[in-house]
Amino acid sequence: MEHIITPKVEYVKLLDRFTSKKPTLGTLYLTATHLIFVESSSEIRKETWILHHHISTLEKLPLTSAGCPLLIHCKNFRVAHFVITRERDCHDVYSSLLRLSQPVDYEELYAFSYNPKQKEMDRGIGWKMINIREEFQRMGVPNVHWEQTDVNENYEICNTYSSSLYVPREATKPTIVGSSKFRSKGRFPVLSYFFKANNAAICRCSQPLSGFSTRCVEDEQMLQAINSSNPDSSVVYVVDTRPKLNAMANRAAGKGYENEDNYSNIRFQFVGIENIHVMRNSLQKLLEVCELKTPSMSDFLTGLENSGWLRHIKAVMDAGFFISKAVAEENASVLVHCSDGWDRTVQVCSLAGLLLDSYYRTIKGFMVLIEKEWISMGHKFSQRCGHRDSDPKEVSPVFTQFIECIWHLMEQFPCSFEFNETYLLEIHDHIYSCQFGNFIGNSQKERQELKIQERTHSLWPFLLEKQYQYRNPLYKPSAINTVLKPNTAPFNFRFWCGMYNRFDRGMQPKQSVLESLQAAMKQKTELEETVEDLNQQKPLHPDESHFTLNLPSKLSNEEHSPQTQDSTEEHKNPLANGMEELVETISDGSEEMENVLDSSLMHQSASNHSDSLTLNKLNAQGDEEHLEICPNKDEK
Amino acid sequence: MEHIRTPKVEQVKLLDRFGSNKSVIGTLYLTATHLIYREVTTVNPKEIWIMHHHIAVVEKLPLTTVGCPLAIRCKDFRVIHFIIPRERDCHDIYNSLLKLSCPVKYDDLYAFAFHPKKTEYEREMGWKVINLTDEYSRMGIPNAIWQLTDVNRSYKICDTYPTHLYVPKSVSKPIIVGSSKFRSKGRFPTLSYFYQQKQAAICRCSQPLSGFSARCLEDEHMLQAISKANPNSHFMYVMDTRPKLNAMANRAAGKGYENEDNYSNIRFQFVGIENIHVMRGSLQKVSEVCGTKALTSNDFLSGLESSGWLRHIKAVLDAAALLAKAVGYDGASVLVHCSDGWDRTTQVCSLGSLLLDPYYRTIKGFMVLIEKDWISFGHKFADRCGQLDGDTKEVSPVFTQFIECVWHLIEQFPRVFEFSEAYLLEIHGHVNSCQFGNFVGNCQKEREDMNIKNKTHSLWSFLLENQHKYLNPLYDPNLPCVHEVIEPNTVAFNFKFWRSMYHQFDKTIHPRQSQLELVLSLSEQNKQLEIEAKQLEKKIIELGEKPRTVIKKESFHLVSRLSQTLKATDKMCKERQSTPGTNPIRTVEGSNIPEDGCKDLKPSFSKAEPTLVNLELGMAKMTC
Repeated sequence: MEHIITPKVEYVKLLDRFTSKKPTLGTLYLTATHLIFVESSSEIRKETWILHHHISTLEKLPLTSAGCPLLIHCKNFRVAHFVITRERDCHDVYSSLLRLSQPVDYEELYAFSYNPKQKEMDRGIGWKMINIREEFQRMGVPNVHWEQTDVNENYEICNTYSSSLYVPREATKPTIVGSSKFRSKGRFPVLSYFFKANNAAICRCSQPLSGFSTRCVEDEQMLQAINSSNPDSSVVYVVDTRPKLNAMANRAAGKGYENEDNYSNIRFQFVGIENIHVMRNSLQKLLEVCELKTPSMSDFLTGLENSGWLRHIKAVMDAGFFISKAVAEENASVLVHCSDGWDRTVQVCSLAGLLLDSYYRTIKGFMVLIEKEWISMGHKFSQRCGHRDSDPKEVSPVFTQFIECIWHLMEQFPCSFEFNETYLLEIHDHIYSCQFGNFIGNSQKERQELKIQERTHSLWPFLLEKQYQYRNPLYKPSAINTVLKPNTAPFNFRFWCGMYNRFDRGMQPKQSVLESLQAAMKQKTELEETVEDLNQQKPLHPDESHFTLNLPSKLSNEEHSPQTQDSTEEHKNPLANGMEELVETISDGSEEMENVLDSSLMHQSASNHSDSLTLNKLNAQGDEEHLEICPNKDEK
Repeated sequence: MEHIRTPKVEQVKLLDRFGSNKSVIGTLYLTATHLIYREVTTVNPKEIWIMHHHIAVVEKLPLTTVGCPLAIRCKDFRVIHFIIPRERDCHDIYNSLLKLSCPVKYDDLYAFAFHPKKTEYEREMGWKVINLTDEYSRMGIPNAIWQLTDVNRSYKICDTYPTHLYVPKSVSKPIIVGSSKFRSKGRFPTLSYFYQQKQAAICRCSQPLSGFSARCLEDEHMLQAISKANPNSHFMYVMDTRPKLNAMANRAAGKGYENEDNYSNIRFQFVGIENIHVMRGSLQKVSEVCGTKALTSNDFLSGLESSGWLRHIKAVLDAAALLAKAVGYDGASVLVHCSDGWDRTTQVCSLGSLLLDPYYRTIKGFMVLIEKDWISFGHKFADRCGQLDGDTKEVSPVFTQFIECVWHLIEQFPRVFEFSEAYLLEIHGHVNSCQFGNFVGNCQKEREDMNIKNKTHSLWSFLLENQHKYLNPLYDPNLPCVHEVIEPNTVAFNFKFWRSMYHQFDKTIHPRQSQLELVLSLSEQNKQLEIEAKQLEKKIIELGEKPRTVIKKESFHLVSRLSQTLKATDKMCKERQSTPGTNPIRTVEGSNIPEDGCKDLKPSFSKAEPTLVNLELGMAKMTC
């Protein structure tokens, strides 16, 4: 709190980036965790909440006649442009935010102060929701070829790996230790995913310290062990996800890549994903394009091309697809690495796992995937997301790219994912929000030292509670056990408006297909229930008729008409009502569902009803506030 | 028939542009109307029918060891690569196709030979499906201010306009004649759309023959009358859809644009849509980008950018949005023109009306719109689509752009259109196919001279018969938003490459799962369930009981049930498949066998082949 000089500034203008509408007037509040803008102009109190941790850059623009402009760029791609009347206030807010958005200690992160009304026991259970060991059991590991090793129990061999790792039974402890000494940061080859259907495995590690000619017998044994653990195939693919040039340059520093001659039966392959610095710059360029006020078609396309962003996304996707093909079609095991094995390797391994295994395409399974590949194996979330004030060169949108790859897959396979776009966006938000402990720190060891599990809450149970919001109405569980084969022609990659222009509501499609589908799906469920119900009634049970309704009258007169009215108003003034609507929807949700249940049966064209319902929620959907609002209601 | 030398070639290979290197072996048949390729390899042989009229370019590529490659580019963006073992055969086919794909006279067009099993009466009724007089009276015309004029009764004043034209009551015949003399090709200002709520009109014409300083009192009078016809606004907009530079250049040729000083109360505006030659070049570049093998993301984006295609689409939509805003919000009348008033003007007027009027967003209404603004007002379909062997400089994708604009609108407003993308693709296919008489010729007069209505069939009745295929499941006429003026967002981020159009036939790069189909089957199921519920209830009542419904108190309960019921649903679907009249769910999980996925998708998505197969089987067999 000591950093907040001016907790409240009045008569602040919020400018809209795209529509030329009048700026909205309101009051700016600065709290310990959020910057809150409350509109004063409309009767409806519309609020915009910006978490301090989401702020990536702050800019004070040159003074204008209207006041002092303050431009805020957020990590979740929100751009807020305030104009504060007095320069002094602006300066105060600016310097407070500057300090608040760049915490120095982990202790300052929101997760350590976030306290939803939850029992201590529930908190503990929340952390136990995902168990990596169970996940490996689901894959069928340990088995005759693979076993758990305790070699890294106290993070002695590799302090960025988790403590429980899976290796081939054939690999002895000395082999592991020897191999780890020959690998950058000690990240020796371990199991990432086991494909039960044909015993092929995806393994991951970091680059070998081979320089120009160094060899390591243990490391060669290790790869041999991985090879012999898959009796169906005589070769192991070794996939270096870096561009060849980068890998060769690394040799000069005593690192490098595997020499095919030294390892028996490996097939070596580069896949050419660029490094974190290239990716950071690429995103920067992409965001510059997004910010153009009235870009011409050429500006947009040239900008998109120059940024190279879609090229990188395609490269990651191509690599993931390559590995899943090797595993599923050629029955071959694959060892994946990049430089340190915690950025590109993670992207590619998790993507390949998702293509191979339909479990990871469910809401729960996706959490498990992130927990297994990203969190436990030490993707450096704190550095990549810039949780604390540290080296900006370490920041990179590695996880964002992964999320975007999933989105592109969802576009190609709309029926194969249990979750929808909202789920991806929600997770992406929480990577930066530091509201939950899951993504804090750079490795498992660091999190244990921070006592994350004792002091913070886990994101996963929070998401599961709200899972009805994240469901994909088109999901077909019957599509289980299929390996996805995405098409990676450039035509299939496009700019993700829903991510990078998410908060520019003027730019979002005004009608959401997802919403109408969800409504139709719900209607279907209800109709089926009714049919079932009526079917059960057919055998004579006259005594139980305690809910006798005269359906037609109730329906058409009471329920339907107000709904329609609502949505008319709604449509005329879509921006102003967003917030109110949301709260309404949340609180009235249960009631409405009941109503629908009543009505669905006899409604002449029941679709009207659910459609107007949808419209209510439609605007709420695009509303940014709903992410932050729930947890914070409690705090207030 | 005289052009066909080799009606059948065996052992022909078909290459896939994007998919695997696997090629298919089959037999090629050449008929009077179609080139047919039939696979021999599989149990369930696939057939590809290519109408001769759809063929844009035939190319013989250099001989290879496996045979002689023949590349065919179609107007519906299909690209096909055959390899014919013997060079002689290839040469024969090549020559035949060259002749067949460029008919010299209208009588050679397919429409005159196409005879579906229909009675003469049905054929005639087909032509009466759309009546423009009805359409104008739907808009409220004629009324106190606008009336029908017979000035162009026998195409005396303007031979590219229809006979029935609507002008303000206050203009006399001499004024019309005078104005038409001052307008390029005699295309004087006439009513295109009347917006009843605000009494504002969209009018269209061609450029004035103003040169640097010529004036015409009658024309000024005409505009004055149009402006006065709208009591809600004291001025009118004149929208020149050309870039300013082009319009100025035209002045040197004695044409040009209106001088604001000479006309009272007009507001003049350029909107900068490029001409047909630029558009043709642009589409050419898009096709080149599409055809590139092993395309990188950067090449694709820079190719798309340098083609300028999306820029042009955006320009057209921008103009239409501006028009709709002027009419719908400002309540001002607008006069739209370009050079001759049959390309850009048509695009902008028809899109503007579509934004304003929900009727044009229905299946029937969209036909009316095309009939009114495109066909009757003389968009030169024959020239623009290259129906006959003629000047290639006249060919231009003007109509394609219009269709693409509508698609972009559907993407932005998925719930206000009665039709889906499939409808657009079907219409686009038929503009080039010449299978129906509607789009044959360049203007109404030409079609009357050819006796189109007596000799050919109309597309509209055919589309109406099949309309269930084109329905948009998300459309609901009871939604309030359906009836509003739609305001598209034309920020560059909202424009994207239309894969289903330009890669319509490259099934391998399409998504393997079709949302549209799923939704269609879902809404079908809902209907069935509703009926079932009603019947059950009736039965219960007949049994002498009162129906009851269980009300779920906890919404939580409902949510948790969702997943269960989803599973249950699948079971139900399977059961339902046996019931007649239900559309069984078609699961397109093509991940395992992509080829199968394509096959599944085919019946609903590829338009040309199945419809033709159904309708023309007799015909084709006969001509073989």
